Amino acid sequence: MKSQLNLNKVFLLLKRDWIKYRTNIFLIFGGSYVLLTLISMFLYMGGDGHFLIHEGHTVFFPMLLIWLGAIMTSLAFRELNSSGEREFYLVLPASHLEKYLSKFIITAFFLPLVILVSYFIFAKIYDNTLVSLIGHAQDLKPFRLMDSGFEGVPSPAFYFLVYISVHSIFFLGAITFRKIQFMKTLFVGFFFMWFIVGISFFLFRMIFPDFFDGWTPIEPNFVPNEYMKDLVENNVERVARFAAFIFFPVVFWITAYFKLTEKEA
Amino acid sequence: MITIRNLSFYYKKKEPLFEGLDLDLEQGHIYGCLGKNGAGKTTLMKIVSGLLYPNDGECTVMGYQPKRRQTAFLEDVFLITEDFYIPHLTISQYKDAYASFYPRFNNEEFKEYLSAFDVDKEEKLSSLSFGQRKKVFLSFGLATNCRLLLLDEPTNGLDIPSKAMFRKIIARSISEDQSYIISTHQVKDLDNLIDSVIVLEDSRVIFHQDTETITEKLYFGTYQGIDVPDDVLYSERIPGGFRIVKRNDEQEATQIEMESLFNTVLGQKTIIQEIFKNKAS
Repeated sequence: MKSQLNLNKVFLLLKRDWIKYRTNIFLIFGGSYVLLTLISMFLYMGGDGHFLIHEGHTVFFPMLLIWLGAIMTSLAFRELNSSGEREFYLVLPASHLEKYLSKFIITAFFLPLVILVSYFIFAKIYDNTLVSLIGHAQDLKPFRLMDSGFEGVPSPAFYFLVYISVHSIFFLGAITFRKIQFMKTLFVGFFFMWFIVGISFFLFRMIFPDFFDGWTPIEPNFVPNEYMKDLVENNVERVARFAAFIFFPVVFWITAYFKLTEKEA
Repeated sequence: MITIRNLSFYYKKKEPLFEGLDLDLEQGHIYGCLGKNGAGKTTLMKIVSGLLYPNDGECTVMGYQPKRRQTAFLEDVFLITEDFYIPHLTISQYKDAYASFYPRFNNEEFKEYLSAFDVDKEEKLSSLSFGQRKKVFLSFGLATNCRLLLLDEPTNGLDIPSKAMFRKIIARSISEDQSYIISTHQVKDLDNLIDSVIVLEDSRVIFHQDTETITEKLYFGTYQGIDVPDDVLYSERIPGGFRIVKRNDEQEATQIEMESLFNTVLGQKTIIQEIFKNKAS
């Protein structure tokens, strides 16, 4: 059965992935933190004895979560796309659903969790080291991820929501593309995003013509219809958030499952 | 155990590899699947294991349709292909990662087979030679105790003592509810090992007999002389005479010489068909 679900099998698949990929995981994480340290040092050197970035957690954590998450998610089904490993993976006694779920759990739950924990550890060590070396830290603030430090800027924790969208796109890309999945997904994702933005703009223009002067949006305060103005101001962001963080991710995850079933056939 | 009916398969539509192929295999046997290069031995193995789908016809294995690749089916079939993938793991890590997927996997047997093949389980798979890797996968495949073990060119890359050990292990590991299918073009390696011979040629099975029937109907021996007699079906010059295969009219019990049998089947298709048809009637 393609949709058969045995949680013990999912656990075995997780264990198998851990045994098989743990060295690669350590290397990728190690490399990422070395890179982060180097970037930070350059920022210090360029800042003439001061860091160019303050409240470092607002930049470093989202960067790590999104980029590392996207790269590792796009490699999730590497064995299905490699000719040598493909047969080996296909005859592994587990259903499509179990194989899908194991990769989903790793990339959607374990990966951000590991990034979070490793960032906590890195930030603590890094800031303490800086304080002892140069007397001040870069404010990586591992325990203040809910706090942005800047007004109007989203907190690092907000990027967990962004990660849901990013994950769904790169998870689908990992199954769809056979080679260089990350770059291809990035490329297609970029065009897809602008396609959605374009479509939304046209729909908006058609439904709310009062907001436009020709094709140029006008200031909301000049919209003659108060009811419409209120509706748009209060709901557009909500609709956009729903689309970005719930609707499209769910659609992409479901598509990814069927794509996997099709690809394994 | 395996029923194949009217199976067709092609990589290119105009060049069918199998057309109307029929085959019945029972449990408790070691089958030798022989054929020239490109006869479709590996493809047949992949169809039986669910890696390739027939274009037409039916293939049923232990009551399952392999193409559906159900978990219960995959737990009971183990395929060792000729070009297998090597993960970057030690042998014991490999066992830890994969053994639990096979409910009847026996760790003691795995260790025993590795030791018989003289392989250290702490070795890294990627650092082993081709032959050593093959020994690891053979050991693992046998230790899964799957009801169907498919071995594609298992003796390729094995040295002479390992080939002997392979025969010994295969012969003693099979149980009544299991079947092994060994596909090879190195037919000599199957001497005294298999109990049924299948020969693939011209998109179908041209020969499928158990060894008992073969020895009953054919005589394998040598002939010392300058010219071989007319009733000989196959002859091959050896020092001091000929290795021959002929009808076993005198009902003499001889040992099957697999390479000679294979060449006889390919070279005397009509006569062989007639000899074994008589037996069936």
